[in-house]
Amino acid sequence: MKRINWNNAVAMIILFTLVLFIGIATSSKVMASSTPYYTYTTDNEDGGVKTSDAYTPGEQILEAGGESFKTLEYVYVDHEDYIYITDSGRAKVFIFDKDLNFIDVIEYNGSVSGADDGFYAVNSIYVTEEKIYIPDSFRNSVFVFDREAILNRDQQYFLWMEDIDDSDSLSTGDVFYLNEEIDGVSTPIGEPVFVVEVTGQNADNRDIVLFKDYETGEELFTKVDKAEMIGKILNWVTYDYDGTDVLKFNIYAAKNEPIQVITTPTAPVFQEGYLFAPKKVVVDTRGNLYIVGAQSNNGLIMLNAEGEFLTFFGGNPLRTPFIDQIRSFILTDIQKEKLRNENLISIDYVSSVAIDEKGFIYTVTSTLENDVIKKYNVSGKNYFSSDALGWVGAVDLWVGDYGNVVVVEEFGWINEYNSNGQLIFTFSVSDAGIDRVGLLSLPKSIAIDSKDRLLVVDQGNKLLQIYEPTAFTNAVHTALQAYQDGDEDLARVNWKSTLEYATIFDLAHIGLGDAYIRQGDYESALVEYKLASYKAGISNTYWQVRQDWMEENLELVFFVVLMLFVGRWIFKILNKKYDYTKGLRNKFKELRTKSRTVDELSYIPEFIKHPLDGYYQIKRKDRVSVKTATIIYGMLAVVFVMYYEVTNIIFLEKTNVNILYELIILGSVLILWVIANYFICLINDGEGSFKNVYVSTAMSFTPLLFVAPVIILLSNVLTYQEAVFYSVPLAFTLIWVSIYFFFMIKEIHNYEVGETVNIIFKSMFTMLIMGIFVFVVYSLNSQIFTVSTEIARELIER
Amino acid sequence: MYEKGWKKHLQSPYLFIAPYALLFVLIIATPVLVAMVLSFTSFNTIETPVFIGLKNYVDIFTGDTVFLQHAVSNTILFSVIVGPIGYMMAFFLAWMLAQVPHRARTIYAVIIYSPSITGAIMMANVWRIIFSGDEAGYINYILINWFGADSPVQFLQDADYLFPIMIIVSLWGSMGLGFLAMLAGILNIDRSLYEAAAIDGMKNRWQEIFYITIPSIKPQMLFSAVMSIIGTFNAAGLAQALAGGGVPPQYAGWLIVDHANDFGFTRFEMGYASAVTVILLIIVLLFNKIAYRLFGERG
Repeated sequence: MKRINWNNAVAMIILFTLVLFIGIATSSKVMASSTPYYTYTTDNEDGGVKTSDAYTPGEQILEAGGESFKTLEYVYVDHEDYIYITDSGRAKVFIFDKDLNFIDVIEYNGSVSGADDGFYAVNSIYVTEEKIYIPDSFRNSVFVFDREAILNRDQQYFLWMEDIDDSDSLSTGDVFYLNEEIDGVSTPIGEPVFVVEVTGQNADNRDIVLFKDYETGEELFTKVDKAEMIGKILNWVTYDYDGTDVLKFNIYAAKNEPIQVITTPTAPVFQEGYLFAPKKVVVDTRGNLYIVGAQSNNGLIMLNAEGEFLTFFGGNPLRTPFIDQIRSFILTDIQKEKLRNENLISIDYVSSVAIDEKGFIYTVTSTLENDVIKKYNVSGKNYFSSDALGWVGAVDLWVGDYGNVVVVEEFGWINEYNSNGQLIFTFSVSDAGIDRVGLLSLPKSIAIDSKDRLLVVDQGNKLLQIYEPTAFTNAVHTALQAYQDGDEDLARVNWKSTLEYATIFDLAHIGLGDAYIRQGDYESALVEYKLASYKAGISNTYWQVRQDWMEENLELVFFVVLMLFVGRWIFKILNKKYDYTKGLRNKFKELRTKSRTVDELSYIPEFIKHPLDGYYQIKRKDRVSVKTATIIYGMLAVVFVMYYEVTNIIFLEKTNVNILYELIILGSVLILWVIANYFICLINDGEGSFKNVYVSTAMSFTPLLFVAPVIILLSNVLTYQEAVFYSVPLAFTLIWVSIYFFFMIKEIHNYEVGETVNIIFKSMFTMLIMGIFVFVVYSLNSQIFTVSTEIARELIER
Repeated sequence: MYEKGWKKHLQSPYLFIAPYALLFVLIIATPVLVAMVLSFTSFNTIETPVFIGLKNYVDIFTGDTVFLQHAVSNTILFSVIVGPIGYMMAFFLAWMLAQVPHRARTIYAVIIYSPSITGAIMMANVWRIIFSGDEAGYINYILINWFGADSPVQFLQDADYLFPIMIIVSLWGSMGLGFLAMLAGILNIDRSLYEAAAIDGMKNRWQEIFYITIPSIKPQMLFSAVMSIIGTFNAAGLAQALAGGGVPPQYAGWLIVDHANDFGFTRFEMGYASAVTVILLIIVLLFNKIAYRLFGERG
């Protein structure tokens, strides 16, 4: 450790306080209105929707008691809101209280002076109500301290120092005063007691300081450097004492001594060379440790309180590359064995771990793209939604008080999930080279305190950034909590209030729906779920609503259906006798003879019954005109629009579609088909004309005109339980249409079955080529234009 | 006068159909009618049935979630898959069999027909071993030893697998009476029809099938269609047999008849069970009507 530049340190504190003061004074207004990032939430299709700010940048911690940070690793907040920040560069843990005042530091230089078993990497920290656990991967140990002893280290005495030569360091001639308490105020006592003299340097270039009695000059003791000399200097204050500036040192006598050091377990697997290099640790209520170890292929290392190995826990499954899967299928065992040594199977090491009050263990893995976060119960079953959105690079996570999980990712994204793994908020604090308060360059670790503030360690900028939750976030949290506690009214009020901040906030609608369901109000729940397009919820609540309706009205429905049947039967009998519908039929007949289009349209049912005859009629007798075919295409378009607009939302795969866009796509595919098929058949002895292809394609789709509207309407009274009634007719109709399509090509062009199959593939290929061509022309639009003008100019000018 | 009157009665057509009519009424019409009447009562097989009106039906449609959420959906899905596919398979197998020589044909026909009569026993012996949920099951053995799966798949205890397996097993056993009827029909077609068609310019086997075979055996095809509809809707107990007794996991493959059996012979609520069967009857009638539309004479 180098000499400390006292005056500089003091100046820095003042400057820092000043900056902080200005920062606080201005931030409350400026920051609230212009957060340097956008916050997103997810909609029903996992798409990002911009929403109100969830967290706004707050204070920062830039240094601890005059000592700047070097390589920050980890931040932890314990149950009393003490903030612990580990710094591997300084091999220390800094402790702050909830008002961000620097309290103390945890240091450990080893059991005996010079031994290599003190802090080195201090990767992280975990604090229970009694103990503090500090894993150190370099020392292959977990250091366990007593929390009370660390936090309430006795202040043994104060010393006052006067820097005589203003050298900003402990140098020859500096004097020390004893301390005296007068009316609770400590002041230095009249005369100095020690005077120091630097006698030389030891092998490590540290000053050897000789303490002499001020009056007699008697040599009292020598010490190496200040650390050994006066234990831990915690804070110092500058006082004006009789015209001279003196520094007050707060001296702690006792050094931090671990009560337990957990080293490499004695279990055989570790003795055989499995690396025990703890980086992160959590401890459950029984005192068992779950350790994230460097290069721990098998996942978390689980030890009991005594440090004995229990088991491995929650490892990520091996990802075998597809090529290796094929290889393993072909190769013999010997070849496989040979390969195994050369193989580079990528192992996804767990990055960080957290535990909640129920004992669920959460892990996060930075190399994974899916299943980034896992939530294990004791037996290792993952309870976190595997659909949870996550990003590569997630390094640390924290479980909040409401079952919410926050994850920080190296590239700057901070995500908050609810307890099931649904993304609530996400925002990127990546600074991208811009130096703004609240933007970070390399976030490494995250924690939440009891006021729901996010504390994020930025290794790049060497600071701890605090993000304050907004009223919006607080409402979301309160609602989550209230729902968990079974207080639906409170949950409802809070979800409603979140909607004032963000109108598109599906989570709130779903939350409201859940609250309504708990209260038995299914109809209101249905409305909310529909707003959020929450399909499973819509299906379940609609089922209940429909059931309630049926319970009331079923007998009436039976009666009406019976009446309709009887009525129809009576009408049939009477109609046979008196022929009421004769007039109607005659009118229709008249219309058919008058208008060709009407006649052709009313031919459709007959066509559907006898498609082969129909194609013959189209081909030879010109049964259906181009005009009618175009009308059919129009009707198909209407059905298509209906499909997206009217069908029950739970049966649609895409809910927010641009119908016009979809229509254009479908239309162009059809046009491509007609053209491609015509041209391909033209050069393959097909008999059909262009008109034939156009008309018969339209006619082949006609079954859809009859079936689709019925099932589209029907779908609105169905739930997932009765999905058969929707999907089966739809599937059958599509198969039906494809069969017609096949025979259409066969009959119109007069092919054999084999030829027909051949032609279908050729047409599809042609469609693809044409499609690509159109796309290329479209993208090269401007270039082609320039090229052609260039060529034209060349031709003209020469 | 007297004698003539007597003779007249003896010659009455009603007398001719009397034996059939009697048996029909006794064996078929009466039970159906009784079931219909019972469906309006509460009947526990011991006490006298009590008339309760439409209550059974109202209960089915409002309170019976197992029926509405599982039985109806499963039955319809099962029928629309097994019915048509089994039907088409029956036709093509029959047509193919008609092409082979007489002796071989008989042997093949017996082999193909036998699953439909030995169903239950074969299922226990063959299919449960094939799909067994440990490494002894053939499919699991193959998956583990050839494809390197880590653990056996619980085919018969997993609701997602049970239903498809049930469909496969049913298809395997669906070559029943309908198949025999179609085979007989195809064999009965006059060969001269084909010869005449060949002379008239018949080009290939496809045309033979579509223009001669199918029109000639339309009655048999209709019979087969009706049989397959009734057969698939009447299927029961398959899922239980595969999964090993009791209610299958998550009611996978729970069919309407299973539901009726459950209420009729486990809980002895005969009235309710009758109501369930009446609903099944209505569904079957509906589908039969569709079949007649498709394959009936008018078409």
